[in-house]
Order: sequence, then C-alpha cells, then structure tokens
Amino acid sequence: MRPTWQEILAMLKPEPYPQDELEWGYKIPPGEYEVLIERLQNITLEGQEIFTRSGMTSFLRMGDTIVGILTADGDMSIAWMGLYIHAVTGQPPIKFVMKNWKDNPSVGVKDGDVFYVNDPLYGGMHLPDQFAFMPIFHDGELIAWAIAGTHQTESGGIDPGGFCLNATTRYSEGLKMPPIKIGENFIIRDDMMEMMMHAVRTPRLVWADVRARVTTCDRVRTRVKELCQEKGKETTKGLLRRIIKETEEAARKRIRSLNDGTTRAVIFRETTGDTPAMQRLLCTLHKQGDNLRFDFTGTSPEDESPYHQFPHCVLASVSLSLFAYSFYDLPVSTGTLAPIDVVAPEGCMLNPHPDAASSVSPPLGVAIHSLVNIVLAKLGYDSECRQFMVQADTGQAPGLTISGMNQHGLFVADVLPTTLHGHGQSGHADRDGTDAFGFGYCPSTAKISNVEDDEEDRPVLRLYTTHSIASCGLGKHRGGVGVESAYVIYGTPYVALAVTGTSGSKAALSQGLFGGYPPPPTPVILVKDSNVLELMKNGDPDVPSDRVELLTKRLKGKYLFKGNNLLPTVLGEGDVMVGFCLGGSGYGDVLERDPAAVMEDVRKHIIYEWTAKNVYRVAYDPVTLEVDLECTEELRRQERETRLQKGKPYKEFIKEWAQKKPGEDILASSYGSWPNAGKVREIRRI
Amino acid sequence: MAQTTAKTTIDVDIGGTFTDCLVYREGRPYTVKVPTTGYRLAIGFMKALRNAAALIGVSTEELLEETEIIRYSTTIAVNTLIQRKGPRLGLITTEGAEDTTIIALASQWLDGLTFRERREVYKAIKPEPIIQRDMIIGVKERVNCFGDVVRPLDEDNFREKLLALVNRGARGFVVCLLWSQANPEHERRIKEIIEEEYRDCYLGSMPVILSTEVLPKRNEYQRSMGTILNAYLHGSMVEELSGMGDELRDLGYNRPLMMVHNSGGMAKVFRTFALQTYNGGPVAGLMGSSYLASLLGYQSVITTDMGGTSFDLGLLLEGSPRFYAFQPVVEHFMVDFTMLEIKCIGAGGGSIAWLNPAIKDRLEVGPQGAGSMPGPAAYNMGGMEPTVTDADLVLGYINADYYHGGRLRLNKDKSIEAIKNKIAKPLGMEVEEAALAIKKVIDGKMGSAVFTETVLRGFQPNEFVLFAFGGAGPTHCCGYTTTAGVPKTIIPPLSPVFCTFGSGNMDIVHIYEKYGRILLVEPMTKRYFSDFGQFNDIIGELTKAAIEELRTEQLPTDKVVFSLDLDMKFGGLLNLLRVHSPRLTLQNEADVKAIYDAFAQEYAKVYSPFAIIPEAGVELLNFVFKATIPRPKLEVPSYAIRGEIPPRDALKGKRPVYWDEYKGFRETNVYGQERLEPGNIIDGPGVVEGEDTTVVLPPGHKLTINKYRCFVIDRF
Repeated sequence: MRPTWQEILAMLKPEPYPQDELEWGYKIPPGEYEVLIERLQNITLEGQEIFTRSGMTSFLRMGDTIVGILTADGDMSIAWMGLYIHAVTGQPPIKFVMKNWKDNPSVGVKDGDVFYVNDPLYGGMHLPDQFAFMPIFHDGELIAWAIAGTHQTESGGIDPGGFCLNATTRYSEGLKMPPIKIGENFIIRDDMMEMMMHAVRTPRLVWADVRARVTTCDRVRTRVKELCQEKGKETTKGLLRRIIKETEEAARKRIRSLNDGTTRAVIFRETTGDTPAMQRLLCTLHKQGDNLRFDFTGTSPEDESPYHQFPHCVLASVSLSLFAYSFYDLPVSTGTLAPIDVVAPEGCMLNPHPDAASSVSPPLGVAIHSLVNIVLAKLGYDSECRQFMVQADTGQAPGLTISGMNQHGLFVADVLPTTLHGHGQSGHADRDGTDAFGFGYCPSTAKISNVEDDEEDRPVLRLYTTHSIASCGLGKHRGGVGVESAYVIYGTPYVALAVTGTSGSKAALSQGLFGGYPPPPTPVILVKDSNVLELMKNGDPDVPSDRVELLTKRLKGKYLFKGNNLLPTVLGEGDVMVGFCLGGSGYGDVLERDPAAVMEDVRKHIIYEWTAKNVYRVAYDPVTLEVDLECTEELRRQERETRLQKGKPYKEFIKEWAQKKPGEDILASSYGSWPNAGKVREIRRI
Repeated sequence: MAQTTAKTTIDVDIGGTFTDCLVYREGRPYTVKVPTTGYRLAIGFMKALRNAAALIGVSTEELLEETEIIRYSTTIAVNTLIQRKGPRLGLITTEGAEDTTIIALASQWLDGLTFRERREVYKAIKPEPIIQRDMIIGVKERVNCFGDVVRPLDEDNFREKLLALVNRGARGFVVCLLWSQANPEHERRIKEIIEEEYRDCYLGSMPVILSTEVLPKRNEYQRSMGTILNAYLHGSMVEELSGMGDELRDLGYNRPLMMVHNSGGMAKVFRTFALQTYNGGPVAGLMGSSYLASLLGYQSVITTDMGGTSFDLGLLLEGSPRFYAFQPVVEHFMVDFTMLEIKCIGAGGGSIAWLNPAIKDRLEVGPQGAGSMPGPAAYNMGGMEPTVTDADLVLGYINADYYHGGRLRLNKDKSIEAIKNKIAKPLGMEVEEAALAIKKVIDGKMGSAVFTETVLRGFQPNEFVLFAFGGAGPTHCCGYTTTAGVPKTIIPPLSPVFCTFGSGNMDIVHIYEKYGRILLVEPMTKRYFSDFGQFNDIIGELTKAAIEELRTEQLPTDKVVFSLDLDMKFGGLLNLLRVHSPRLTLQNEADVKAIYDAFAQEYAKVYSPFAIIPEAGVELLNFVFKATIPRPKLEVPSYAIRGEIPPRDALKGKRPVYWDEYKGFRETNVYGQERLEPGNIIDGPGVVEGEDTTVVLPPGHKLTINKYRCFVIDRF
C-alpha cells in the first residue's frame, strides 16, 4: 500500500483538471474572482495567525509553518507560507488517503475526521515535520481539504530533538505515522494523543502543537464551508481548481520567457554526522520550452547516515527557490510544480533505499536550495526576471538542539532559532545582499528570537549575539553578513546538545556568482568546563563579548572546534557553545567593488582591514579610512596582471585538476566512484 | 448616558494632508479643514483656529478665552521619523547585545509589510537604523530571567565608554539592558552615573531615557525600539508643542492643551511619550465611534475610515475598544507599546487599478495610490493611471461638478480614457464593466480585511454594525459591507472630521505597565497561584504611582476609575493575549480562578476551544494598569423626526448610475445631504451628495436618517 517514490512524485503534479470544475471556475466574473482569491488567502492567513500564536515549539513560534487549502483530490490550491517545502510535502498524504482510505470501510473519510501524518515515505520531509489535515464537506460532499504543518522538535528517536544523527536506519528515528485518523466528529481521540505523547520526550510540547495544528485546520475548514454556503460548492470547487490551472499557465509562461539551455552547479559536503566525509551534490538544470528539469545525476551515493532525501523531498527543496524567488508572485499552488521535473537516480543520497534514515534531510534541502538558486540565477541573469532570479542565500547554519530540564523544572527539547534564522542574503546584480536578512528556508516569516525569549524557558544565558564579522561572500556586490551567537548553559545541571547543520565547516556550501566569493566555512565552538559564570559573578571585566574576545581572552576550560554536525553530547552548567549563521555569497569581481563601499564595510565591522587590503586591493589612510583612489587603481591593475600571469589554457588546467583525486578511503566511504560519484559499495541496514 | 457639556471646546486633528478642526460651542459644532503645513505644523493649527473663529463670528482671542480645553492629535512623530530629523542618540545596553537593534530580529524588512510584499524576498531591504552601531555601547552587567544579578555592574568601565559616546556627539541617551524589566536597578544606576558625570542632563538638555520607564516589558528588541523612538521623537514634539503653546499663550489661552494618545485616552503634554501620539487621529476616530455607539445603543461596532490612499479599521466590543495592536510596527520598527489596534491597508479613492501580467492579466487594485499629485486621471493633472475615483466617476456614483462641493472639477473623459486603455481594452471588456470590476475588487479587498480582522478575534461580522467615515467611506461602504457580511452601516453626521469628534469625547487616561512574572496556573498539576501578596503588592505600587501623578497634575483623584488588563499566555507559548482582569486584587483562590477563566474564555474565543491547554500552565507577564478620569462628552444635537418621505427640495435631480444588480445604467435619484431630514427614508438605488462625501445606496439597501442625522443603511 505504501507508495513508491515514483508514485509520490506523480502525486506532486496537478491531477487532470475536471472540465466541470474549470467551467465553474471560469464562470466567476472578473472582479469577483479576484475578491474570492483574496478571501481564500485571508482564510489561510487567519489560520496562520492562529497556528503561530497557539503553538509551542520554536519552529512554530517563529513561523516555519504552512496553512493551506487543497482540492478534494488533494492538489494544493492556495497556501500561506511559512515554509514552502511543507506546501509540497503535505500534498501526497492527502492523495494517499483519497486513494486508500476514502472507500475503505475500516477508515473512511467523513465530516469531522482529523488526519495526521509524519512519515517521509508517505510524502513528508522527515519525521519531525508533521501535518494535520481535515476534509471539508458541504451538503455531504467532500469539496476540499484544510492542512496545517510544522516541524516538531522531538520525535522519540534515538537522539533527542528530532534530528537523529546516530540513526543508521529509519527504525531508529522515532514515531512513524503514515496518514492516520486521530480524530472523529471534530474531537481528537485521547488514545491517539496518548500514543503520540507516550512516544516522545516532550509530551507537553506535542500535546500543545498537535492541538495547534488541528485548531488551525478546523478554522480553515469552517471558513471554506462558509464560503461554500455563500457562493455555492460549484463556485468554491471551481475557484480552487482555476487557481491551480492559472498558476500552471503563469509558471509555464515565465519559464518560456527564459533562454533554453543548460546550467550546472556543484557543492561538496564534508561530513556525514560528525564523521569526516566528502560528498558531491551536482545539479544540472535543463530548460527547454516551458519545462525545467533539475537533474541530480552525479550526486554521491547513499550511506549509513541520516543525511538522505527522497525524490519528492528533492522537489520540495527545489520548490523553495521557486516559491521564494522565481515564482514569488504566483499563488503557492501545485500548479507551479506542473512544469518542473526532478531526476535523482536510485541509490544516490537523494533517492536512497526506503529503509534509509532521513531525519537530517532538511540540511540537504538547504544544499539543494543553494544549488537551485545558482542554476536558476545563471539561467535567468539575462532575462526579464533577472531582478528576482538571484542567488538567494547560502543556508549555511547549525541547528543547536538542546534537551534537558529547564530552569523551571520542565523538560524541553528545542532548536535555538538564533543560529538558524539569521542568514545574510547573497549579493544581487544591482546591490549588496541584506545583512542578517532572515532564514532562507522560510524567508517571509521566520525571525531570530529575542534573548529574553530564549532565556525565559530555555536553560541558557546568551553571552553575545552579533553580526558575524567576515561572514559574507565578497564581490562587486557582497553578500550580507549573518548572525553569530554564544550561549552559556545555565539554570540546569546539564543538557544534551546535538548540532545538525548543512555542512560548511570546511568547504563552503555555496558559490558566488560571476566571480563573487562564497561565504567562508565556520565551525561550532564549544568551551567545556568553562569558568565564564564564575567570571561574571566576580565582576571580572574579561568576559568575552564577541568572537575575537572569546578566542583571544581564553576562558578556562577545554576549547573544541567542531563541524556543524555534532552527535548528542552532554554540556554542563557554564559550558559555552557558539553557532554561526553564515552570510550570503558575493556577486561579481571583488576588484570592481566601489572602494568607498569597502571602507564602509570596514567601519561597520562587516570585514577586516586585511580583506580590504588583500582581497579588495584598496589603498587607504589607516587613521581616517579615506580611500586613495589613485593608489587603489594601481593596486587593482597589478592584481589583474597577476591573475593573467596565473592563467592557464583550459586543457592544461583540467590535466592538473584531474590529478587532485581524493583518497580511496574517502571515495569508498562517502564520495563514490571517481569522478562521477557512482555507487561503490552495498549499504547494509539492519 | 454620558454627561455632556455646553462649554466651548476645540479639537484639532493634524493629518498628513489636512488639518481638521472642530469647535463645539453652545451645543453646536463648527468644522473647518485647512491644508496641513508640514514644515511647521503650528501654522496650520493656528490657521484652523482663526478660520473656526471667523466661522463662528468671533475673534480668535474671544474664542480662546471661552475655550475650556484644546485637544489635538498630530502626525509629527511620523514626519520626524521618516525624515530622520531626530537628534544623535547613544544607546547603552548590556555587553554582548550591542547589535540587537541593528540585527533587529533578522528579518526586520518584513515588519509592517502586507502579505504580498512579504513574498517579494528579492527586495528585502532593512531601514536605516535610528542609532548607528558606533553610537551603541555595551555595559558589563547581567541579570537573569528571575531578576537575579548574574554579573554586577562595572561602573568604572561604563564611565569610560560613556565618555567615548559623548565625544562622538551623543545628544541624549537611551538605556535598555537585558531583563531590566525584571530588575531595573542597573538601568537606574546608569542614569545616576550619567547625571553625576554630566550635570546638564539634569536640566534636560541631554535626556536619559530608561527602557523600564517607557516600556517595562519582556523582549529587548521591541523594548529598545520603543524607548529609542520615544527619545528620538521627543525633541521634535517638544519643539512643536512649545511653538503652539507660545502662540496660544500670546493669544491669552492658559488652560490645558491635551494630547490624544493611541491608547484611547489623552493626557497633558508633559505626560506624553512621543510614541503615544503615533496614529492618534485614527484612534480618536475609534473613540468617537465608541461614544456614538453608546448614544445609538450599539455594542459591537466595526469602524472604517476610507480616505485617498488608505483604509483604516478598528473594532468596538461592548461599546468600547478592547483590542490592542499585537506587536505594533511603527515605520518598520517593531515596538511593544500599548496602542489600540487600527488596521490599515492600502485601499482608497486614489488606489490604482492595474493588470498583473504574471497571472493572466489579473486585475489588481492598489496598494499603490495616485496621491493628490497627479492624483486620479479625472483630476486632469497628468495622472494616466485609472483609480477607484475614476471608476466611481464612470459608474456615475460621484458627480464631476460637485466633487468636494465643486471645489475640484473632475474630467470624466480622462477617467474613461484611462480605464479603457489600461483595463478594459486588454481584458476585452466595456469601460463600464471594467469600472465595475475595479469597484468590486477594491470593495472586496476592504470587505475581506473587515471580515478577517473580525473573525481573527473570534467574532462573526454579521453580529456587528459598521461605521463608515472618511471621504470615500460612504461611497463604498455598501460594497465592502456586503463582502464582509455586515448587514447594517452607520454614516455619522460629522464623518469628514470624525476624528476630531472622537478626541472631543476622550477621557483622561494614564497607563502604568509593569512586568511581573507570575505562574497563575502550575504546569501539569494545574494548581492555582496562591501568593496573593505578590500580586497585590504590584497593584498597590501601581495605584500609588497613579495617585501621586494625578495629584501632581492637579487632577481630581476622587473621580479616578482604576482598571486592569493582564498579558497572559499558556506555558511554553511565545505570544501573549491581553485580557481584561475581572479582579483588581486577589483575596482567595476564587479570584485567581476568575482571572484564569477570563483568560481561557477569551483564548477559546480568539483561537479555538481546541487550543486551551491548562496542562501547560498559565503565565502572567505584564500588568497594564489604567487610571481613567472621565471627561464630559460633547453634546450631539438631536432633531425632531420628520416624515419618511424626503422633502421635495432634497431631490437634486436624476442621473444615470451603473448598478451591478441591473447589469447596466439606470436613471437614479440624487439627493442633497443637507436637505434631508431626520426620519426620511430612501430605498436604493439612490445617491446622496454631500459637500465632502457621496453616499451610494445600491438596490437592496434602505437608508434612514435618525434623530442625530446619522445615515443608517440596512441591507435586506
């Protein structure tokens, strides 16, 4: 009964448009159609407000959500973002219910039913991403579905917090729910709630958040029903279908306006869990007519880690860029996906065996997001869309998940949003990226949290939160800088810390465009057994208040420099952890950057003076920071000369480059065959 | 019924375009509109007074001599902010948190944007910070969430940094330390040190503003921004006020000059933080509606104000405004000030209609507006874009020769041309059909906003009546109330200057806020809070502060009415819900339960009974304590009821008007607003023309004029 990956991918395309529904939809006259779309959008907005305000986990509180309205056969018609990937991954479970449960007398679909799902093998991203959905009936007929989804920061897996770095198969990742019915007659069943709460470490959070999802669905359901009563079910069904159809037509039109062609991007990951590794993600975009095909052939094979995505997740990750940038002005509807295809060969990390662990799939999604941004920006730079088809953000950030008793004696397991939601935006064709612009994964809602929000019920004390100096990619237009935060464990004897990130501790997870630099890699820093609380208590002036002070005014304790992925480790009170949310990539040649802008960056502590001198090649007065234009021009001329001298014919370069083959051990363990990253070994899962 | 007065009062609302003035004298209103003088608001203000005096037939001095009180609302705060005309300030915060207002919770660019604008991610640009990074210093100190000192204040280090800040040109200081609302001692000590070091501050030349004095609430970003904006706008406000005060004194006026607050009350000028004046005009409109609602006997009211570029709406429950803005945003800066909620969307007479090429040329209206220059195409001042006003003209709703009483002639041909070229032709429609589509979209947008704002709070729009004011409100109200599902609409008699009527009916209100974390219901055990003394001590402290201040202001403390709102949440949740407390003090567990019940009831109403989770515990975080001194209300003249049939001379004539119900034009009666009498009834279709507004009454609607000359429209 469980769908194959091919079947799930097919579920992400719009169902054939029923002629009668289209006719009803197109009967709605101009003026009224627009009003009704606004009304639907406001229904999702109302749902979103309720959802965000009534939920408990930090992802929910910070707006990483989706609330949507789908057709009766499960096509997303309109949604309020949130997190765009949920607009995609929430759809297959409903189609599964329609195919398998609707006419099954032991389950069925009735008015007042509440369904729930979190299993990625039925269409989701990973177990923590959980959805409630409710059918919307009118006069006894199923006319639509309401859905509400968000990430739950605990799923009862081998590691606390939902991201299970120790998992080698899906069977270690916690409670797996295929599409199941958890409520009937508008009441959530207590036995189902008990099952969910019993399976996790944070029953209080699950209790609140499941209710928040259901509350939201019910409100959306009520409003759509009111619309039906007012306008009739034909109009309502026609409206939902017409939106999808028109969105598809609009998406195809925009794609047609781009040049046909092929663009490529590649990035490398340096870890699977906290084991050193080297994995390649390769994306080739083929644009032909009104179709975009994202082909990930050449991506490294699957392995024993939880860093996998299934093909429908890949499409969801691709859609993140589409909804946020290329099709930002179209409804968040499945019509957008009609002209989009993804190719992920079986056996690669983006199409592993169904038993593979996948709880850490979102960081791979961030990597895909980076790749897709690059291939689209390359494709669109000479089009009418160049303004908004930009390299977006790198998404390079660690999720610091802490779990343990808080200062009020309650158990919490949650991700601290500040090291996730403070990315810098990449440089544009016409301007620098915005500093600390937000969360590329969820750009239109997510925020970092206030210090006082974190400290109110999480057992931490924030030592500092700063713009992360030198975190941006350099270029004619630099990327925006990200945010960097240091936390002290506080008010509890110990917590477990797990870090799940996108890699990027050794190799950058993104690339600049047209000569721009990627942002630099960053570690996670830990100081175990530190004396920071003692220093604070004693009024010592040398408590670090930024990265430089932390590294130069050494605290007592053991400094550890880790990657952005860390297996659960115990931290005691007073231990320090530092996470970096990186900046955006640069756009264009550094030698074309306005020297005055370079010095402004120095003044604002965006870059170091070293960078101004040695990368941007700017000459200036060290006291006043005034630019010496003549000298700068000469320095830049010399640099161009040096570049020319370093230049090589392509064939010669490739000959040398091909010699730089990684070691056999790393190829066998993670990369795959050289150079095309093919399968080299069997993965044994128990 | 509220107490009324016959004494002369003056209310002035300084808006972005016009300065409105309402003088109440011997029970009769006199209204004046003059252009706002942005370069110096006092000039427009004084001109409005002079014109009002002339209208009454007395000298300005005579008018002021008999005036008991002057109240006014102003846009000075917005102007100063937009133009960044404020002083160079220094921000003093906890070391390690210096970047708080620069990072601004990261996605600050989203704050204050509409749904569509938030999706324009590629345009993400943050506003220029009010205080640049080099004017921010970090103090070595730290307090935790319980208010315990984790790191003592390093005074010597602070003195060094302070000197640097002064040397960089600070003309005032804002102090916002982490968790200062839980323990304000370090903030207070910093103020003492600044005053020790720079004695001038004491005289007010370099003000020191503490966040705990302005906004003692959790969340350092919002608290910092609230405090910074107050400090930044303070100087401009003082300057403006001293200018007005001087001129008024020169004319012999020595009685109070009160400022309208966005919290719904008013206070003397020196008791006013600048941020409290933000959006004061629309809030005054809400308060005026509250008073009118009490006269008319309505409990649940939606107030709407449709002007040239924006559509403001607010809600009254049980006759009073109860909703405070959730995370209010002032020009892209999120603050956490207690201000009554007024929703504003980009929809007005000047909103531009356009076709969105990305989505099959879908018709969109707004949010861009044509402004007053060049304005709608019909203004014939160079505007080429079709607007809502153009559509109204084409459809026959407004009169080209009687727009603003004939002071502005409209050119219908220009409207037709604009709609034809930009909308009708590309869509293959007739011009009138296109105009109707424009009207439907804008009415739908406003109606949808009314609907959403009502249901978001857990109420059904059909249980409300809607008040429509503003220049374009009466023209479109039947359209947007239909979309919103509101069956009854009231157009008040002074609708063009309704905000001034509102300020004329406001009470004196002082608000005192205090952070005090109380676990009202324990998680899991669901045990009720039992340390009543802790709660009552906070109330005692707030009461004492209120009484002392009222005495200082020589206000009658025997007339004061205290009330309490509480910001509460279920444990673990982020967002607070403000609830009116049924108890001022706690005496027993039943009192605690009464507060919990009020919270749970409101929560269920706003969200859903599904969302009630007492197992998570209930936390009380903020006390919002109000001291209100009721003021006499303006007398609204009432008139004898005449017959149902309008007098013959009220019918100005007939003209073809396009009605969707008839799918075409139909000769329609046009009435003169001033000639209609209380008791008259008009069945739609019909049009009523006033000097500054036009009421459009479609088929299926009935208009009745009540004894206060309000137009009451029922849909049937």
